[in-house]
Amino acid sequence: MASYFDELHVEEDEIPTVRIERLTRETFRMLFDHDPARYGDIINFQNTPPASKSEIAKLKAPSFEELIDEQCRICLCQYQLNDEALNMPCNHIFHENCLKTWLEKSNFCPLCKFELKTDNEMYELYKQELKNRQSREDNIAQLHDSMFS
Amino acid sequence: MNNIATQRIKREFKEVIKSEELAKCSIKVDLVGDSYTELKGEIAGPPDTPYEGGIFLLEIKVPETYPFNPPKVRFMTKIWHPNISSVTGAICLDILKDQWAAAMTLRTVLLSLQALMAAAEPDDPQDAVVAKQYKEYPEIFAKTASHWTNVYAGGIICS
Repeated sequence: MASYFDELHVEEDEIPTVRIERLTRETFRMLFDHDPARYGDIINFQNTPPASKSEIAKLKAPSFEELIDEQCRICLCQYQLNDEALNMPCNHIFHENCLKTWLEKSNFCPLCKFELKTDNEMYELYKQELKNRQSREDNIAQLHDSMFS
Repeated sequence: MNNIATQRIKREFKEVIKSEELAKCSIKVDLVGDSYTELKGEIAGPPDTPYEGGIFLLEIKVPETYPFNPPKVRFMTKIWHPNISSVTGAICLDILKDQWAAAMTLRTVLLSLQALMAAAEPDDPQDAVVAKQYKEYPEIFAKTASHWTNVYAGGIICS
């Protein structure tokens, strides 16, 4: 019988964050095999889902001063008087229309990849699981350090 | 093509033309015809790699939904690399797929491709045969890649 590690293709030298992401994906894939109707969306995480409409509605406009001599990094145009702009929670500013078009497609900041919440339950579950695994791994690493130092 | 796509490509065009990489002859972008939907890119093979000395041509197609969707990029010059098809020139690079972000530009794409040439990712291959050789026989890989550079990309013969 193949060992647990062989079966999950665990390689010794794999980078921890890469391994965590891969294992999380594989777990979800197994869930999908078990119940395709319920977990159907998960295996399509190649593209991130759009940002939640309610999250987009929460975004605030920056002050006029913040726009002076600045450029929207989506359309690469300088802000003009009366241009409508929005501030992401990570403090990156874009034209309102530019940003909204982008967030209808992907949930992250075009500059720094800061993620807004989505309406995709499965994606949120997946993100949560990823986070849990990461913190578990960190805890183990901490425990190891405390034992051997 | 819609306004924002054309307008953006025009601006980016200036950005690449002014960039220091162009001055160093490491990347270049040219128009193909009058429209801004099709462009021709050029990347110099990075130093200390089997691609050094070669000039690699790229086909760049700008979709109408640019910059909300990535440009479609393909190597027109034949190249021996694990993440690039040795037959079609198709590229396997995350930022040209799901990792694309609207703030990325032609310049960042070309520089990323140059970085990919310098550091292949054989675990996410586009060309399985090349990737296998890269992993199992690195020396033969380097010789093949440099030979392809000489033959197809006008590289200097280095023994």
